[in-house]
Amino acid sequence: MALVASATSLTGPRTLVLLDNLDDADAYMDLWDDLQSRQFNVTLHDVKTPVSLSKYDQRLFDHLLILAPKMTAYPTGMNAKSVVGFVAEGGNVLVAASSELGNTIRELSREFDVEFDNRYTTVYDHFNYDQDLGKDRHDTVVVNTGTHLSTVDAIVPQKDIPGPILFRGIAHSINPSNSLLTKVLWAPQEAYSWETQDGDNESANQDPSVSGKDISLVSVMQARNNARIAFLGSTDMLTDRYFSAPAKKHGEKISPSGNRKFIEELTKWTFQEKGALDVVAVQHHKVGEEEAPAHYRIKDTMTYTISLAEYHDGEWHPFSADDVQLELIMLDPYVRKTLEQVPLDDQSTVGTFTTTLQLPDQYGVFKFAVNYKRPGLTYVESVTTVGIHPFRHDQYPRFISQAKPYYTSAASMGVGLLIFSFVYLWGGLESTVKTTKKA
Amino acid sequence: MAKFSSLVLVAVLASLSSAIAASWNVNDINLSVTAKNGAKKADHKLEYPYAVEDLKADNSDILKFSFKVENKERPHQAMVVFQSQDEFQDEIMVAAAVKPSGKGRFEINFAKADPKFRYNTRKFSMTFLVGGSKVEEPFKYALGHIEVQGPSANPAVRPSRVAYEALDEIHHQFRADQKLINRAVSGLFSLLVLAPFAALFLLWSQLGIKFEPLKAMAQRPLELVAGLVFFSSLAAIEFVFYSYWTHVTLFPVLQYLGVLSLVALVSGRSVLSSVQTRRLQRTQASSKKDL
Repeated sequence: MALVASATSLTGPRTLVLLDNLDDADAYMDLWDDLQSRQFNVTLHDVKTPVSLSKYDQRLFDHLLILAPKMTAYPTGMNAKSVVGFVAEGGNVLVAASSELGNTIRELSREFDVEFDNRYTTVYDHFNYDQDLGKDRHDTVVVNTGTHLSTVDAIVPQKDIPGPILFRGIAHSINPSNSLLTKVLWAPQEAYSWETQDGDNESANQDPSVSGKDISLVSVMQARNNARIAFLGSTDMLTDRYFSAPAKKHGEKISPSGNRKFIEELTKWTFQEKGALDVVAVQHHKVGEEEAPAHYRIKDTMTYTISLAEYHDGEWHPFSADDVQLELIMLDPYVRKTLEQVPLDDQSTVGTFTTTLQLPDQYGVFKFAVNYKRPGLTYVESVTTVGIHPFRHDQYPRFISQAKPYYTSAASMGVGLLIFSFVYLWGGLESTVKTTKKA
Repeated sequence: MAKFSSLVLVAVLASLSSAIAASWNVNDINLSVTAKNGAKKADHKLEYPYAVEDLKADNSDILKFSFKVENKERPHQAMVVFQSQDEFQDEIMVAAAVKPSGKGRFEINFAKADPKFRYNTRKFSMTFLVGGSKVEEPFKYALGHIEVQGPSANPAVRPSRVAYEALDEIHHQFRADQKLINRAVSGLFSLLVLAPFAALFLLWSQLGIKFEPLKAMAQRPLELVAGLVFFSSLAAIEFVFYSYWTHVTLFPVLQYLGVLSLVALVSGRSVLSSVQTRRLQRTQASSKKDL
């Protein structure tokens, strides 16, 4: 059955799961089932057994799931540098934490501008706790997907999640100025992060280090090489128990939890099963021609066309968007124009975006660049270098009406010469005849 | 054994109290704004669900908040959430220390508090939250709104983030076309250039030009042919110049001119010498007559 390895993931099927203890694997049976049904080749590993992510500079795995929050040291053969190197080589990582998060994972997350709260802290919410799982400590938060889930549908489509999401774990915050990071799920306004209580009659007497929507529960990063990393503050939200538990908030109706679907969509995105774009073709030519010229001339009217395909559900599909932009760049952008999508039909295999524009009256080496970066989609950067020439000496207008006096004088010169020659050759003054007559 | 039974007792009591106290009971809520020098700007005694409006604070003011929880349990969370009433909806959670007696209070010095208070002048909604795991139902009280003045100098700077989204379009500004003079003016000057022709023809008509009759020319066919060849070679050279001006390039032009100028040279020599002879005859004849 090894032949089934045609994974639906673009990166590949080889998945390594790091666990604190192999016995923990029993808690995630549904997750393994889901991954295996999507053709992932899951290898479970505890943190005490040596394991290596790459050999001879080649990745041995395509995806890494770190479900070992308590980990105090990497397995022999692995370190923070090798995980970062794994991402740099295009591997995808999913990190799940819990209140008992050790420094190893905390330091790894810092490499990606994600800061987990201190060890032994928990997200509490006395207003949105689950009445079953969070009864004793109010530490299982019921998160409403309509208001606290990212609207970036490319990552987790809001409308597909059947119910609220149950979360129990640690808070993290992301660097607000890092554009590569996207908050996917965040805490309700009333939530706060505080030391894990032992049930005594204590009071949170200082401002919480992070609270409300500043608490990221789940966030994702897409690196510049399009490798994807997901951070979850809770290992519990991945367990069978949370997958199947109904969510019941105080004073609200019981509803099925959206955890399983949420995790399915999140892992699909993280493991490159969707939201991946590719440039299929780039064409450009002068209007009325078919082929790309060796160079353009200033003020030429030309047509630029780019074809993009989107990967999801194991196949490439035509991509649709209304905000793909073309830039003409020589140091600075001279022209930026939104491309129009050619209407799709049944035969379309790619999304085609096109525009016709007049080149600027500035000659030089220009780049036709489509730099399409949107949250949740792989970054598209297509650059075509073309030369734009000035007019050649004989490409200027040949006659201008304002030079008419000059043309007339040249012509009158020529005609005058002919008339004069004619008169000189065959004409004579009558005066001789007259004088003869008189005489 | 005694220790054990007391533990049981505590547990029973705790379960009883949590069964009884299903919600929080908070009283004696005070909210005041004090200036730096100690002068009270506003002082409100609040009772649920009354909400204060039009509360204003300078960036150096101090906001004081106190309350008393009547329950036996101490709440774990007794906090006020400030939410900015603008597009960002920033949230700031301020905690109050609750003493075992149930009394709780906090102070915010806006000059030293969370930088989110110091971006600029903004209105915040205030929500009082009381909650704890011992009591099933939390207590939420919308206290109203407060406008916090931004600092006049050195406001806090919101972390900026490059959003991945469509950018504004750029349309290239083409250089304006060269300014050209009016066609009518150039037409007028074209006519002026042609004016010498008029002068020429006028003068010639006064002189009275007489052309040799064709019959006379036909008597000297060689001369006539040479004349026609010379004249047409001149015309052809003019035509080559015209073609050079419009579409033919330099080297073919030189070839044509090479041939045509030879023809013009040879034919011109014979024609012009015959014209000179004729003229000389005429002048001699007329001078004889004058004599």
